[in-house]
Amino acid sequence: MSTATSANAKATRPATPFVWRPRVAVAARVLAATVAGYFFAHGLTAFLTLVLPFARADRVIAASMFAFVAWCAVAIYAFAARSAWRAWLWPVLGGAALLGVTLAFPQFAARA
Amino acid sequence: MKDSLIKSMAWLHTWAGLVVGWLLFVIFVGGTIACFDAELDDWTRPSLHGQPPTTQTQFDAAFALSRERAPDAHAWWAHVSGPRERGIESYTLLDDGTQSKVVLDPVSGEPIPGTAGGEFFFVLHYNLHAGTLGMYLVGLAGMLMMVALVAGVLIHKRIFKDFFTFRPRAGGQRAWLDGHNVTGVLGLPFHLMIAYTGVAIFTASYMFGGINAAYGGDIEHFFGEAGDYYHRAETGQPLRQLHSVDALVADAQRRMGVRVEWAAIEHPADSSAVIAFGTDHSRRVAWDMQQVYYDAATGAFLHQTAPPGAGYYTYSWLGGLHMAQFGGSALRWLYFLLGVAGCVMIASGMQVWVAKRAKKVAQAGALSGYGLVLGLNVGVVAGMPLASAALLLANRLLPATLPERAAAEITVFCAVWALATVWGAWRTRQGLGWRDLFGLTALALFALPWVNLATTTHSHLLATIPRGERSLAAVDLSALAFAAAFAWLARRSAVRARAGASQPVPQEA
Repeated sequence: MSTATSANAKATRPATPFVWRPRVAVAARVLAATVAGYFFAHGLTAFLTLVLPFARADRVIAASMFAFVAWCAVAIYAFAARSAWRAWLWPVLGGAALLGVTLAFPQFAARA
Repeated sequence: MKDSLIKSMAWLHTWAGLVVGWLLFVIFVGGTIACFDAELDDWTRPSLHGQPPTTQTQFDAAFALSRERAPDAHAWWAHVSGPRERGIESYTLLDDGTQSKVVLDPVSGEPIPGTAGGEFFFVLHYNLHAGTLGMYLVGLAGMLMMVALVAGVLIHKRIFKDFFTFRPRAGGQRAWLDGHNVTGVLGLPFHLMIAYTGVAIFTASYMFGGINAAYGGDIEHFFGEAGDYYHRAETGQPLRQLHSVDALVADAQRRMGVRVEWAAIEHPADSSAVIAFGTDHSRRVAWDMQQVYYDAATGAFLHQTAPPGAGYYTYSWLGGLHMAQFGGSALRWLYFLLGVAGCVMIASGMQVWVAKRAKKVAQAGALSGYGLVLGLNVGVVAGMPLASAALLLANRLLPATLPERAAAEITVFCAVWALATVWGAWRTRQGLGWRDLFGLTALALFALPWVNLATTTHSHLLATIPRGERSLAAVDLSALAFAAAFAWLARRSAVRARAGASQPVPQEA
């Protein structure tokens, strides 16, 4: 495996000094996967509950069941994205838009 | 962040796996054992062994006892005696959310000695015995497992070929990685399913955006509407009399078309009290959530739940797929074996992490992040099976009259695990932590049938096999089989430790 050889190469070098930049970037992605990913899934659950053409309980369940898959996808994207900045940007924007639309139609979202 | 998708996914798989690996291992061992939670509950109650199964319900006796224990409870709940589990489980649920449990003899209706039983592993599996916080931790672990699985698939270019590749003699990282890949790929559909359905069961707690939007955040309203459950508001007036619950069973069974498995009385001290009957989930994949309701004072029929809608049925189906109550003992064994494969996948994955960094680990010494990983690996992976074996031994060895007996068994479990972790971490400095704990686990499991023979009259193999009580015998026989497996692991660890001692820096593949 290519990663194994690169890890070995690093292992033979003397201890590398503590570097802030990559660590902050990793922390930012971890938080993007968890916090921003959950926020997106939360917004998507609300939005699908608003728009799906089922009875109220069925809308909630279908939306929630799909949301876990969406969260997983966002978490993968958070580490595949070109920058930590993007890993945050799209889930937060998307989640806010989905949640915002749902909050704008509270009665329609709560229809039987 | 890395220059290619595969590299960043490899990084994600490695670190998501490491961070959640120990917790996930505990959840997996708990869930694997909980495949047979009812059978293990039965095994841990030797006073009931040898009794023929009874179909008679004991609801009135159980609820009379509940009235003594908690007259103002939010609800009383009692199960029937069944072929998997003879004891009658009876719960009182208080308004503050706490509950207490006693188990009754199905013939006499009298309480029997308490035990942690198979339920201990079931609760450990879904909330680590840490209430709501534990439930969220387990949910997060489940999501991390899903992410690690998807990332694991993405980095795995030769997923089909690796399925047939296992080189235990290659040693070190190569063997661990092959083992990780074989169990991971073999069990992949199961692991994806179990992680997804596991988080989906608690969706009302984990993913509540929909309930917020459609029900104003009222979870009970949501479940009441989805399941068509019946509920009467409290009046504040005392209940005049309680109708016989056993007398209503025949009518409830006729209306539901299936056997009554449990009965409950909601706010039993109030004149609004309702008797509810439900069934079990053994006939189809989806949970059978139907219920019938009667007035607790008059016994008058009040309500029967309508068949679930498509959404709730789907949810029940996903939950049922996780809980494995539908396929009899063959399916439970399949889930159990796939669960064992999952435990091996997690444990070997963490060994890959260590083996891949063997030089760094050796240089860094015990008091470092690497030392912590080594110690936690041996403490969790080898310590938990030892603690579980100790719990079963404690069930047979603690006196039946001991007060708070179930809590004492759990104390034994925790104490053995803590000691094993300290011992294993300490001995890992000489490379002997794995050998010691695996060896002790083999001894404890091998001792179990003998302790059973020495302490019980109707529960040991010489009694259970002639009576044809296969579930009881299977616990003892499984203990012997796992004793052999752990003895093999201990021997292998000892051989590796000797090889490592003659060669201070472990060889890398």
